[in-house]
Amino acid sequence: MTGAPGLSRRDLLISSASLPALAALPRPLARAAGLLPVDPAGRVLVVVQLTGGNDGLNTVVPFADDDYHRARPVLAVPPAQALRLTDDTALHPALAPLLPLWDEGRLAVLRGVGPPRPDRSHFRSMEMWHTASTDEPAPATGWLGAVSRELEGAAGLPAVRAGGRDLPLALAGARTQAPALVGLDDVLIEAAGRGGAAAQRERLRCACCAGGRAGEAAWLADAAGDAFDCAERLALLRGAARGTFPGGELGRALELVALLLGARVGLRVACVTHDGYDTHARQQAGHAALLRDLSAALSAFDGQLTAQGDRARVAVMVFSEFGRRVRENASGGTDHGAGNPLLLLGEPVAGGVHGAPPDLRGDDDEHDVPVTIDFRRMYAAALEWLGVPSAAVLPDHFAPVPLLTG
Amino acid sequence: MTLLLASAAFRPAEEALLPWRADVDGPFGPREAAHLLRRTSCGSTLAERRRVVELGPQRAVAELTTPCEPQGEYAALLGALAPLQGLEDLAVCQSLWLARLLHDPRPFGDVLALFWHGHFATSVAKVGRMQLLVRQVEALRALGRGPFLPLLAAVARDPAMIAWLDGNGNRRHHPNENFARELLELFTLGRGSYDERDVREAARAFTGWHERDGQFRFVPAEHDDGNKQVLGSSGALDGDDVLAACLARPECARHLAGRLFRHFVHGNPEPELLEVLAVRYRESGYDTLALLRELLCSREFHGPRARRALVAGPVAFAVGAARTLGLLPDCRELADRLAGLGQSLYAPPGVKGWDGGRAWINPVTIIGRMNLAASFGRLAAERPSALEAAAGGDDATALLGALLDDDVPDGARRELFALRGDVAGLVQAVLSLPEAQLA
Repeated sequence: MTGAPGLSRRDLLISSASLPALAALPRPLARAAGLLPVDPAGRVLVVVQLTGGNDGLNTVVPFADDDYHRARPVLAVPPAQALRLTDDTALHPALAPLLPLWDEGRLAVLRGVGPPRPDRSHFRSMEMWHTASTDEPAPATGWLGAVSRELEGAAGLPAVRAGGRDLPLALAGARTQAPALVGLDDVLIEAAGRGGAAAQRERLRCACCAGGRAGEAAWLADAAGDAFDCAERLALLRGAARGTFPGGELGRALELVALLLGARVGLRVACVTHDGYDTHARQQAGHAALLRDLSAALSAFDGQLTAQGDRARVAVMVFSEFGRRVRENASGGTDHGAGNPLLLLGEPVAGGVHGAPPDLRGDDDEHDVPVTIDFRRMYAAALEWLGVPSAAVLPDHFAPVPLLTG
Repeated sequence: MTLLLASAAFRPAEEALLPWRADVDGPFGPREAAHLLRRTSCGSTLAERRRVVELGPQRAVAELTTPCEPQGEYAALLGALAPLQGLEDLAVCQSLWLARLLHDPRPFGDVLALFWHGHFATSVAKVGRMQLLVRQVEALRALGRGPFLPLLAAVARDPAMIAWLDGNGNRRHHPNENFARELLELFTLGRGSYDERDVREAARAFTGWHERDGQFRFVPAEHDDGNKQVLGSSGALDGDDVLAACLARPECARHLAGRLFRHFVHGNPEPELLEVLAVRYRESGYDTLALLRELLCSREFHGPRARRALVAGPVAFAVGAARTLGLLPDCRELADRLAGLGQSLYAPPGVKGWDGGRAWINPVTIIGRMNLAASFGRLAAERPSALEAAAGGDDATALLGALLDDDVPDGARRELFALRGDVAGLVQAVLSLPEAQLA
């Protein structure tokens, strides 16, 4: 499903020279014009990482559970403010922009997700989520890097980290290094010297990619080749149409993802992050502000996908490395915990609340939301939906949760 | 027979740590000098390489790692910058740190402070008060060479660290485990060497270690002086007892020796070698300078496994290029570019610091490095005499020698020689090469 077989990278670059105009064209017209360099219907997974350990209990609120209110005298979301989804489950009021998606059956909540043996270290937990492995030491490659390895070959830019300049472990291990982009200016190569910009760029490419290297230098030479390819492709997108997005880290990141989707560069996996969820102290206002940013950006993304006709092929998965402890702490915050709800958004998603309600009984400070669903069951579902064999990515067989149908 | 005796006397790990002896183990010429200077000083001028060759490895390491009082031009520069020191401005403070790295004739103290900044990674993004960060890094600079315990004790009382890891929320009846967890996991032992109970009890020991108005303050009423058990020590432990208990564990020496080795030597140390190193580190009372000097003199360091084996971080890449070429970059602009390359001083991405190594590299950072190289190329072309003085010439031969020990494949060399007479284009091209990204 990833594009015309037999075309080389170079062919695709040439054929994608018409991209700026293409990005502005209505899709059927572009298709009729026969200009698409890659499969326009390629399914796309957007992974949103809430960094720091999102307080899942105050995101997807078990508002009818007395234990919840007992454990959180200060922080509990008052039932009157909670946005009710079902008889026992509500959203934090700051997530109101997501209600239209819920009403249209495009928002799913999967409760009690995490690794089989949760860990309270940010790094260890992230490592498990990023590598899909519970081995220690963890593998050096990520699950989305493996996905990208399976998807590439035919065309385009299969994976991107948008909105930041660090490449997440999840994307490590692809044959072609994924770019970590904040904006399109990031891939503009300046040229110094007297020879003219085009000649200097060509010289840099030849010098960097020349053969005869070993070890780290050879690895870097390959990475430089990827960088030149990426620069050429993305240079074509300047001036393409954009939607209206909220400012902030996440809004800008999702704006870029929407732009890349609209431009048909073969994107299949995108990673974005939203930082600041490690709410050990004075959580209430800060957490609400984070959720407001999150829902505004996700809602804008959904609107833009609808506008550009990409809604049917995109699923968004929102995760965090762990949930937080059931009981609030004395600093008006919450400490590192275990199981957490996962959010899924998009037309391919089976809307609704899934998974067992969290068991909040227990009165010690250490009490955690139990993990009832191995996070890799969600990965298995995403892989099946993307058309990537699970065995190439996951360390074992995991029964997919039936949440991606479209 | 002699071979057998030699291997009986020294295990391979110990042999790898023996000092490199020129003409017995191999040559000690300009390439070896450049390698040493890349690791201690990020880069080197022709004159610095000549001096190191003259001194030989042992004396060179001693000299390069000994701080000297600022004098001459460098002292004048620090004097001129002094009025900016106290500003609550991230960009200004980053520029000042870069100025030190670029112009200190012996920057090892700052190179080491940068290592510790990654180890005890604290970011102004949460702390908010810039001067607390500046003071933290001053402490890393002052104590970074010395024994580890005083450094760790200073970090545990450091106001920026307390703000960063929620020390003020760590109270007698409501311990906050944030600092205690990172102390065990990142700062001393590493994962797998403690359990959740150690974290909880250690947090209790640090209750009442608070920060008020940018100063450390011990608040007795908030300190839990009850009985605790941490890492096998028990009693009415306080924070300092916990730090001592950490250092008493062999895992602490292993963790720290491993981090220092991977940062200064290469990324694939043999476990036996690390074990020998860890034992020596612990037995020396965690004397960091002694450990580093031993490493920098060693066969392992000067042998083939360490040469160009590390991906240079953005700061080391830029500072090294500027020092080697005698450039005077605008430090504010440089700080901006380095942030774009993934290394914002005083603002590491999280408590784990920068991942380093290959994680520095992706298509966007590669392009960012080429663009930094372009700006350095233009700077080099503007001051030909400075370039001549630092690198010994402005042609491809001189620049390849100065920056890359003349070690590039023929295909790349041909492209560079085609840039004859175009200093800016040539400098950009040399600094863009894969080899130039390696320390």
